[in-house]
Amino acid sequence: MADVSTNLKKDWALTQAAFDKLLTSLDDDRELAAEKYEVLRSKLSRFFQWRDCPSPEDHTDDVLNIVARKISEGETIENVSSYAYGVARMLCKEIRKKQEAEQRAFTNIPITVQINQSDDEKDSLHECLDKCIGKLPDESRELIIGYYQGDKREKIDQRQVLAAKYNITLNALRINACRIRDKLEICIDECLKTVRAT
Amino acid sequence: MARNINHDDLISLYLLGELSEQEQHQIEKGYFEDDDYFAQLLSAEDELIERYLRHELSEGERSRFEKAFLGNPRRRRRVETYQALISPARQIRQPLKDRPSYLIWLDALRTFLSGNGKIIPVALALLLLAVLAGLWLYTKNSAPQREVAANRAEQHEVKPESSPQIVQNPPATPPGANRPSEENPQGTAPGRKAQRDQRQPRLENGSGPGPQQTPIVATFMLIPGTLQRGAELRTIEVRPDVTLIRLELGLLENDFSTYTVVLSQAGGRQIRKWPELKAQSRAGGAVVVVNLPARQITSGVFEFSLYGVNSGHDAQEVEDYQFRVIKIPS
Repeated sequence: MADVSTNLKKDWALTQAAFDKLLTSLDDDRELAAEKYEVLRSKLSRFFQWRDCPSPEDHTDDVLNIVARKISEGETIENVSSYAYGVARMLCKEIRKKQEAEQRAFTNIPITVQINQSDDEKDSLHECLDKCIGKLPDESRELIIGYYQGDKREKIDQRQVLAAKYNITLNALRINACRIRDKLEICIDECLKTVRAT
Repeated sequence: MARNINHDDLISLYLLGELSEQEQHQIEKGYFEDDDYFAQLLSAEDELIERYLRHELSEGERSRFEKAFLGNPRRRRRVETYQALISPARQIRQPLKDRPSYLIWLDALRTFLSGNGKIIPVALALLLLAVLAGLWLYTKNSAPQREVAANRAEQHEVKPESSPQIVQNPPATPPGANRPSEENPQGTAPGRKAQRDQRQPRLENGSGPGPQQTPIVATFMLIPGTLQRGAELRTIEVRPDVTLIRLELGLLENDFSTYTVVLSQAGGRQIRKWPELKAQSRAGGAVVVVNLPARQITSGVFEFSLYGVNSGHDAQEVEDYQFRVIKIPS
């Protein structure tokens, strides 16, 4: 994994067979494998966000493509999650190098950013959030609304109730909520682009 | 990790992008190997965002947060989405099947007006029903009776089968002010309502309000903002078993035939509107009464704007009433 760019073969596209092999390497049980895949996606996406990389979702796809290709080419990977992290870390370093080179070309002006949305922006965000929540499957919708319901203590209690209801641990509930929120955020981004275009 | 700091702080520093490469690697290795550890980081991130939105971060933390989160479009969207998800306006938007009928009606009307053809037959049927209901109300009730009916409808929405218990809460008091002892009912302060025991008998099963339980109404009196300038923010405490909050907005003058009341998050988004309310007489003045199902409001700071309307004239803003809600957890 010395050079991620060379691993990112642009002419290689993820095939169903390669994806199936990736899933099988995560777990023999198809349903569990799908869950593990979603968790791995969330971890990669968060990794790139927390490392302040510019396009977390695209980088996540790149990493998963590299891992899938390696597996489809017959490489034996003991721990897919750790391997994916290794690829992600290398990719992040390359992105950083590119960013630094680009930044040197510009004067670095510090920008103070705050959340000062106008009423119209807030309305659009709420509208898009409504639409995107509406597109979620019933169970995901119920989970995400319940997860953020209430205030402090009430919220903690509510989450325990939800975890009990779905018969999962609190940590599993957190990861599920994170996955749903990731999807919501992407959906909201798309929706806001449409709103702004009209 | 050579630094002598606790692990929670280390996670915060990681989320703010302030760790060395080696420290970052340790944390990342940890969460890629352990889902529970990943969940811990997600939780810490949520907590950081929530503290930022609630203005609970120190000046230094706030500026570091803004640099780390708001400078990155994806993380900025996360903060905005989080803000929208926890806003009081969002808290009252429940899934369609759980939503009160009036919200479903509003949605249907909104969709109808926005030109979605699929909803037109449904909307027309609802409109016809509304017209018939309106005609029935018009012939059946005088104006004051209509208002009582509207109040009842609100209570009905909370619990259709049984009559409510009334809990006369004291007028809202500022935090830290001496609350009157419940064994020593007041009634002497101007505008203060006679107060009954706030501790109504607990529901038999001791749990929150359910389908077979009697609704409990908590009544609060709010004083107009013009009389409140400089005073601490009014605070109303809502017990977990309260199902309906009855708010009486005191009037300095009763000069209008009807009033419209708008509830908003302080300095922010509109939550709900009550049109065509009549003032009701009280000893020493008049009040406008609004009924708010307790589940539609969370703890936070809110504002009522009161508009007066006279026939043939535009509505004009009369008063505002700021207050803080503290929902007591069960």
